[in-house]
Amino acid sequence: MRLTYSADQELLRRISREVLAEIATVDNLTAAEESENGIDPVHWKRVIELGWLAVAVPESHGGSGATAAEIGILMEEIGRSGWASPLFETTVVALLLAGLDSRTSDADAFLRDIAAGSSATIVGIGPDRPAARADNGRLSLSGGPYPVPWAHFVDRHLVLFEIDSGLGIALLTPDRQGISVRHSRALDNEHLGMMTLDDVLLGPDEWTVLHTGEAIDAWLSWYRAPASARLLGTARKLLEMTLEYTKTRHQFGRPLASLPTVQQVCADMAIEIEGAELATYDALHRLDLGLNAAPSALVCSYMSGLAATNSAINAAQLHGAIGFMQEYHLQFFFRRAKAQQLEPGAIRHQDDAMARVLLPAVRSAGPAIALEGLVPRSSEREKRGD
Amino acid sequence: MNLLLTDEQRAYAEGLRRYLDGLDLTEVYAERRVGTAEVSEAGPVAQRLLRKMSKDGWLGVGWPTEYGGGGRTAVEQWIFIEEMTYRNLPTGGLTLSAIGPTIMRVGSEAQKATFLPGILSGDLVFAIGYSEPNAGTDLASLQTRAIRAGDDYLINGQKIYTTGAHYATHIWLAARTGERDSRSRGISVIIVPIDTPGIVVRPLFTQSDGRTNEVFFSDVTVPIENRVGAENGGWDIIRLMLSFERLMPYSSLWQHFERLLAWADTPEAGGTVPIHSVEVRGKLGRLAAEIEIARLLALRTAALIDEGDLPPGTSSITKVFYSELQQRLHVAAMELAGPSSRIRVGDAKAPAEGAFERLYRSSSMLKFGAGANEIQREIIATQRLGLPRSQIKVRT
Repeated sequence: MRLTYSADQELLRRISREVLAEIATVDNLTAAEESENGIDPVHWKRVIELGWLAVAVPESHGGSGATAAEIGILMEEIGRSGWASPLFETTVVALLLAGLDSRTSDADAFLRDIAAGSSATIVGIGPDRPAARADNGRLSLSGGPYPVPWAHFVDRHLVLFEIDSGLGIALLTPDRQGISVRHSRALDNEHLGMMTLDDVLLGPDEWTVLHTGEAIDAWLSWYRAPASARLLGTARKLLEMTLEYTKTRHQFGRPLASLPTVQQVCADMAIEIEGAELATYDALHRLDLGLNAAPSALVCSYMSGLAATNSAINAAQLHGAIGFMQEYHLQFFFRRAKAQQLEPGAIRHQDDAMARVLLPAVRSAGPAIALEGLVPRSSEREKRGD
Repeated sequence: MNLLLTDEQRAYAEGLRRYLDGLDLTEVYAERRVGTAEVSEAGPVAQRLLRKMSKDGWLGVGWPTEYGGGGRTAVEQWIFIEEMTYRNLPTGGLTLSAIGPTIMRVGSEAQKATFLPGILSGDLVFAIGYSEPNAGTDLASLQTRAIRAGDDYLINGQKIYTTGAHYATHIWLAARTGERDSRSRGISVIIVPIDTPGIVVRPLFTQSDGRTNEVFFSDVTVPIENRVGAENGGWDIIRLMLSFERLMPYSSLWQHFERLLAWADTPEAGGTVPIHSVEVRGKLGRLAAEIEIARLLALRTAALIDEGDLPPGTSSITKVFYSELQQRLHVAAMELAGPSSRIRVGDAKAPAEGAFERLYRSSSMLKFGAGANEIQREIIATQRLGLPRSQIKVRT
């Protein structure tokens, strides 16, 4: 058991924070958001040169093969910076591809491309996703339009689709026949591609499938835990800004932060954020150990969403009018918190996805639940027959 | 960061589980049935269980071995408290976890010899005599007086919400030994045997059927050597004792949640199964997630104590989250089960044997008790987040 971060992890946090502080100034964020495609080309090139896209790619494929916990720290810092780029999506695509037992040859090759600077995004991470039907030995995918971050910009789309036998997975190029993407602005500073699939035909070696709910949720943990880390970073930034502002803003001859009502709200923000932090790094650690991380990933994703969106609303209230101004940093995080929370689906769908995993976990955990939570390691051992 | 129990910790937990599984707890559970008393109350049967567990070497997990304890880590103490709490069994309460360790630190040699063996064996039970009708959250304003009379203190005054005084052997009393307005600088802690002449214990019943007490002191005489620590040094003793109260068990939440889940899995009168509704399922899913967060927060406190660095406000965060979550859980159970959850515990027709309404009635206590949540939030804001103290002048 260890409640602190390692020295390497602290170093990674410090370096990524420094780089992102230079990148994500209010001026840069505004310029990128107002640009044609939402990309900040200078700094996008810079993070590729720094090797940040290669972080999640296994060493066998030319990447740096970072641990899930290290990736979590980088994602947290991205969330904390407010910077909008396909770095998160590309990292998660690398994790999801690396996490597949059987990959198509194209997917295997594309992992190397990511390490070399190619980008990607994910379609269908939530329940609203394309459906497949058989078509003369091939599959035909149709559906949409889906709001997909950076679909108008990236080199590949990782498409998750519904198929009778489970969750289908295919990696497609944007010029694929039947795919159309219309660029759109968003609530937040990430730009969206509104993606439609109209009879996109897949050959038999172009897709793979996960059959069971358990396998699907285990695999999606590679998205949920890093996404939770990014939300956690957003939440932390909102609290930091609020502490800083209320300590220095004087009204009635004293700092706002000395008012008991202000203190109570800040404490509430901290409570949810610390809960989200523990849950996030617990899920990432389980991923690193190859343990069942599905319940933990859903728990952290829920808690980070709650922490970030509640922090956004509280931060906006405690800042007052200045937080409402475009020229002030806060508004980016207010918008990003809600946008990121909703990426895996409407809250009612997220709640149901969570319940479908957690409630059976409660039923099967037995008395060990009191100490070890939803997936006691002893029950995993029994399952594996260790 | 690694929040998984180690193999040693798991082995300790499994040993404890095996031991508890081997006991016949029928009578204990009969005494602690959800409708009969506050679950925190240790009745005579529960006390017998504690004495047996002490003989078998399971009490005093974290006590140093020189005092007959297990000499184990904070995480193992946490495991003990959680396992007992999850099973709705007594834990020995503050007597074992806080008063014993306080006496070890600041008690006289005679006090150590007199009280520690009895606390560890489960024979001595202390009730905490802090709150008064006019001194609750602002404890430094307490008025019960202890005046020197030769080799004795002469004690007069009144305590209230003295839980457990009707079965305790002693009262851990905070009394004023300084001037009337000496606030925190004029308080002493005195151990008062409950059978001392002049003590009257009167019951106060709570809205959840549990019993607490008011205790009246009329010319109660106890020897000066019953004072713990220095005269007028009681405030530090109170704070020291508080520092042993950092492990806040959360695991009754799983016990209550499992009961709610069992209710949701059972067809209602019309044949519909509540959990088949997306809305019910979603609500239960959220509660399960939040209980898991409560577990991580509680475990973190213990693990940080073992790492030797417990930043201020850590246990306040656990306390606020846990106490508010248990109320959300009990409120949700009522709202999901609907009008039938109104049926009083004890009626066979009540859902979950009436647990929902009984626990709903008890659900506020943890939020104002053991340091009101508003005070905990202030501690988090000022000591953990570094916000300036509010300008309400608090004299201590």
